[in-house]
Amino acid sequence: MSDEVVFFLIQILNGVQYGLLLFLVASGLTLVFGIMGIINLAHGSFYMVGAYLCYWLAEATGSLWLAILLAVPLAILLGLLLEALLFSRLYARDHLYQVLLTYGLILVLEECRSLAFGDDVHGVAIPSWLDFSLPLTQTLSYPVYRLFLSAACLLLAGCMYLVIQRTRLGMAIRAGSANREMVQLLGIDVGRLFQLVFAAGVALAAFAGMIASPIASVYPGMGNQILIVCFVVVVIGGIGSIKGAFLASLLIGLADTFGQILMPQLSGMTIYVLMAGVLLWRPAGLFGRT
Amino acid sequence: MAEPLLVATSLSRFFGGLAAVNRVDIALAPGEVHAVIGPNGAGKTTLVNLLSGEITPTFGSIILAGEDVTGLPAHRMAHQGIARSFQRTNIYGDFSALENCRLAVQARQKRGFRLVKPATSYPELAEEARRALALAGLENPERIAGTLSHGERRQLEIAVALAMAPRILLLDEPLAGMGAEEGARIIALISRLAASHAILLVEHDMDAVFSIAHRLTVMVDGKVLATGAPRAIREDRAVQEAYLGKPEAAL
Amino acid sequence: MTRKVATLPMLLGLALLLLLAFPLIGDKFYLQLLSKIMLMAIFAMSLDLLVGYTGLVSLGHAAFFGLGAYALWFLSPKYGAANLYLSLPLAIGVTGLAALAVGLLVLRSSGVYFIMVTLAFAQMFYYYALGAKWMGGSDGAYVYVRPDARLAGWVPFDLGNYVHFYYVALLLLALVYLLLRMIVASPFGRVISAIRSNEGRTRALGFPVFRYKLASFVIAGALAGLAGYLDAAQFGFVNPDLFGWRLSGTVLMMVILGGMGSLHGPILGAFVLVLLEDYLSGATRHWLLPMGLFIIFAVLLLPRGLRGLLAKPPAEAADG
Repeated sequence: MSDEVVFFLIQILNGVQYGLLLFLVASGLTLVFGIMGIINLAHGSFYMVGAYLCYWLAEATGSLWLAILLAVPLAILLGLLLEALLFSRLYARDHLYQVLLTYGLILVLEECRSLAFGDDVHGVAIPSWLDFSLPLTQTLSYPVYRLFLSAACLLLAGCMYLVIQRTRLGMAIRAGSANREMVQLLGIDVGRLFQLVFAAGVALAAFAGMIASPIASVYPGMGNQILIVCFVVVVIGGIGSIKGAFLASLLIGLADTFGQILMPQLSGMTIYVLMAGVLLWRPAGLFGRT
Repeated sequence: MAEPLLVATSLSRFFGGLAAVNRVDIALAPGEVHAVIGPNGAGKTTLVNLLSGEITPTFGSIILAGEDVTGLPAHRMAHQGIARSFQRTNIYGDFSALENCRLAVQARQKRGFRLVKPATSYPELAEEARRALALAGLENPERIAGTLSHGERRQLEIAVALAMAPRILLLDEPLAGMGAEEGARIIALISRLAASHAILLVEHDMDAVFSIAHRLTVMVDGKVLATGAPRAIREDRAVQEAYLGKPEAAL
Repeated sequence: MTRKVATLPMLLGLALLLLLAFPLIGDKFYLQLLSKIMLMAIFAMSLDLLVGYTGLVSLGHAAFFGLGAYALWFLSPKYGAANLYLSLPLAIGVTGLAALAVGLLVLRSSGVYFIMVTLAFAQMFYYYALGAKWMGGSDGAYVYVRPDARLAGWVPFDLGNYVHFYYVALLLLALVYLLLRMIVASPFGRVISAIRSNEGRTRALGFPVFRYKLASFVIAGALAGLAGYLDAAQFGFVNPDLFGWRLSGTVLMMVILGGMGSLHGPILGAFVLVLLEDYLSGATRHWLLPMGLFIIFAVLLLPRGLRGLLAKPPAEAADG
């Protein structure tokens, strides 16, 4: 195959990989909103928390896997703590107050991170057995870790699909997403369901931050950056729709990647132009309910 | 029967695969109360939503005084002279009853944005609002709507509809939750209004319906089962089986 | 409740007198701080029209603030001064037009979608400014000479003089307050309050709700542009952060903290937040931590904002 075609394929792989990563984070955001009715601006901060925890533990233990193994439960604990302390008070409140409280939370989490880990950019080492590239042509090769990343995200997405479509819990989630009040009437422990959904959202975002860290690095502001892109994902995909989040994530991953190649001056704007376009056609997103 | 003012033909609305309203034909004429009855879930409120422009029909047409108004949004239908009351009270809870009606009067005036003079400097709007409230029998309209009793709120619903000076009134279960005395007053009011308006009345109270309706349409599962004069409907075998004959229908 | 309302004009009058007299005793630092507070108060009041009166929660209002600021930069000749009487209306006009364009797109969304798309649009402006070399990119740009207030040879005031700037800001604050008071009391204002209270009902009455929301959005955007222009005029520096979500969040906080739907609430909120920020940022490098905690506690403990502390709550509506 010619170099141009391979280059094109590489961009597609990159776009899909970025999209899948986005999906992990965005799915948590859309689930929390769909089930619990809470818009959580601090969701991106969990991505950052995951990445920084992972960096710290990886430095301490020397192993990325061990770091992830330890960091995920820590992130879940943080999520449960925040849910009990703060988010549980937001269920009945207006979106406006949720926005403000979680905005305050972003500030708190950012500064805590600054106090604990400083403001430098950090790298995380790719595990040695994944740290090589597959040669595709004479000059182009593709890093295996990125393939691994995509595979891990796909696996998680698959598990999510199975849980949501095939389990009792998934049924409760689908019901809760369609009609929150109904779920209570069905006898499901709503409090427990909310805790679970919230913890899952935090874990997904944090895990995404962890496995992405060898590629994307660990830096201040990474949480806010990905949060806003996730907002675009959720707007395009439709709030509460996992299917929509999946498709929108891939769409955005590809659009952003190709945007950077084709229009580097306007690269940051590609996804917003895309969002504006979708909204013109469908004000509630591709799969959203008005 | 006078010349029909509003004619809906083959009106249908699908939600996904479910036909909430299925090929309904209905005509409203001034001077008439046209009651629509049927079991819960028959599509009566959806029909009202279609006629008032809240939702658009999947197919079918609505002709108002010869003009095709199919698919017009709610605010345009309001200007065509269609006013509706809501089944679940839908008023401005934090405004006074007077303000609720004053807004309805202001809406009619289609005069672009008036940004300068305070709203209080247009007393003619409040005057008309008071007239509508008096007609509906609601006293002390300065009270906050959220503090009114249930029956008074239903009266306010009607007052707001009247304040819109409509040609056509779509009343969705105006008697719901009302006591006997209040209900009788509303029935008398509707009867008086029939002289100058075309009225669609969705109701479960059969006594009320049979006492003032000039025409009756029975809906079941989104479709029209029968339509005609009240006595004929009452004696219709199919209608009795489907709705009237059943014990719970005589509520 | 009526007694409280009667003393509001008195309180505002008193505040105005204090502000008028302040330059007699205040030093440069405090005069400049108060000027900043006053232009932020204009910004906050403009958002209150959207949030408190029309019920539209925008998380991207900084987009128009930044636009007004950059408009001054754009209209200022490189080493000369822009004409105040031309550039200010022009900046407001351009920002209003931008609000019209953005509003046409975003106002079709409602609820949470609206919050998210307004944020996303502001980010679009931010990323554009960040990447645009001609606008200075991340380094920002400078307005070297303040706008010139020359009128047919006579110079009534000099915006480069911090005392003059203070009085101009105060004048504009008072004018914007009066303008918004007028709008809110007008028939137009009643409709937007109705939209906030019950949008479906408002539609059913016959009001073209979209048009009213759009008008509100444009007015709010234009006034935010005015505030942004003043911000650029105060210190002569603009940068992409003026479009940023941080600023959008801060101004929203001002509105809520002060008490939305009141116009004077946001002014109070602007005072408190700017003073708090000034104090905290002087006390510690990590001032965003106590600021964030303050915001969290304020939301949890003050459901009606600071205004709720000062006035008795309205009579609760009886149920059923």
